[in-house]
Amino acid sequence: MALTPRYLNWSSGLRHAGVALWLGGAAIAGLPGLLFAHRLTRRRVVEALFDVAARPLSLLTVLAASLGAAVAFSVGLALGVIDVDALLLGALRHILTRDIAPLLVGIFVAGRSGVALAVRLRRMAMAGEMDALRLMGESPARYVLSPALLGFFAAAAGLYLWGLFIAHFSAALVLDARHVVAIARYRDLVAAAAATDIYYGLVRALVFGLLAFLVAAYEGSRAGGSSEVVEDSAGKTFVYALILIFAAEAVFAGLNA
Amino acid sequence: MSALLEVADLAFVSAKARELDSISFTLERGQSLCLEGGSGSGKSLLLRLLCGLERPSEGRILYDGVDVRGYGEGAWRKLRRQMGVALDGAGLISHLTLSENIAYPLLARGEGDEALSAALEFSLAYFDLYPWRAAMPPELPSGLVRRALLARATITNPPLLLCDTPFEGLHDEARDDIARALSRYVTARGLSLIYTARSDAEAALVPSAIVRLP
Repeated sequence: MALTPRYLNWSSGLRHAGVALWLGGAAIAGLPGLLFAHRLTRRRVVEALFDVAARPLSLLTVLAASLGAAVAFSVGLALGVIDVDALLLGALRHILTRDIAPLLVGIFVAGRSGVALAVRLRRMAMAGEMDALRLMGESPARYVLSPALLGFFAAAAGLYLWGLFIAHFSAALVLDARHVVAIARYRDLVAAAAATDIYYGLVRALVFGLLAFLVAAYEGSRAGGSSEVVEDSAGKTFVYALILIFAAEAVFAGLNA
Repeated sequence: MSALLEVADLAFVSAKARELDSISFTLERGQSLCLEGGSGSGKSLLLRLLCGLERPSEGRILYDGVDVRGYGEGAWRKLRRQMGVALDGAGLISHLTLSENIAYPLLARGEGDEALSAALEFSLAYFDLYPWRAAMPPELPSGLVRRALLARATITNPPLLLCDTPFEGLHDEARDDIARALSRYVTARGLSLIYTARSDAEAALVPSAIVRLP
């Protein structure tokens, strides 16, 4: 066991969620301590923010642009023919802002940062680095998990806003190029009611980021270690996180309805 | 005055086997003790029990007369600050430089820059690690890693030092160097030492009482 105390037997089935929540709680409890942490922990925070939030920016930009364009093509074709641009833009705004952009970020964070965190935790445990931190008087949860959680939250919020901008920009370009809606009209209609949609989208993105983090922390902290186990853990992290994210998306959609 | 450490009827039972049984010994202040045993005798496990990384199934561990059986992770963290531990299975942090690894226990205690720099300079020089101070752990050979673990364990000048097979896998010269450095350090500072050894020859490298594990 890498992060939860080794003497606790967390292996039985019904305790999985409890362990994930324990890890999440430990990470959250460690957040205030980061303000007063020594320089190596502060550096860990910066590295986590860079790894999780900044590095994926270019890939996410391409993905968001592609998705925005694809949705604009589909919705534009369906609704553009009857010349109801307000309806078209409302649908686009709703779909992109509340559903697609948060989901995109959730999947992205789970697949890239979640898998990386799970593998890193397992490798640290295999190399005895978690025990080393304990022996040096450091809390592994505070040193490893809290900076990672901060990174996941920053990534979820930052990548969501950036991805949203790119997706809308891409959609506007497509619709303008196809003479369905002019860019200025698109901008006005989307901006008119953007705040509420962005709020909903942001909450979803943060929840998806948290779910991805919990799954990664849980998978990374499970006992046992070999290169096969690490690979297996990477796959499980992504799949379980996707299941939880889509389940949460269904709940959000139900609540909105 | 109670002994620094007292171990009474200690046993550890894992899912597979009874790995340790009825271990008892006492360590006085300033005393050195070698836990000698072959592979699988449980000497590394015993050190892990002594520093709270594992919990015993039976028996008692008393530090300064205080039974630590009910200690939680927070209480152990405080207690571990009174000891320096160099364990085989608790290596250097791979993304920190050698200097950062050695200095980490002092940073974790919030030590000021001046005291930290002085202690680090001393440790690097004493364990002959200065040329590698900026190296990353994966670049280091095993002899240097063992010296670095000792440097990290001793940088806080703890009253109790626990070392797991500090001489294992080293060629004669490196082994003698580390043994001399460790003996001098422990004697000069009046520390208590527990270390593990696989053979009589290793156990004889540092003058100490010997507890043989079956």
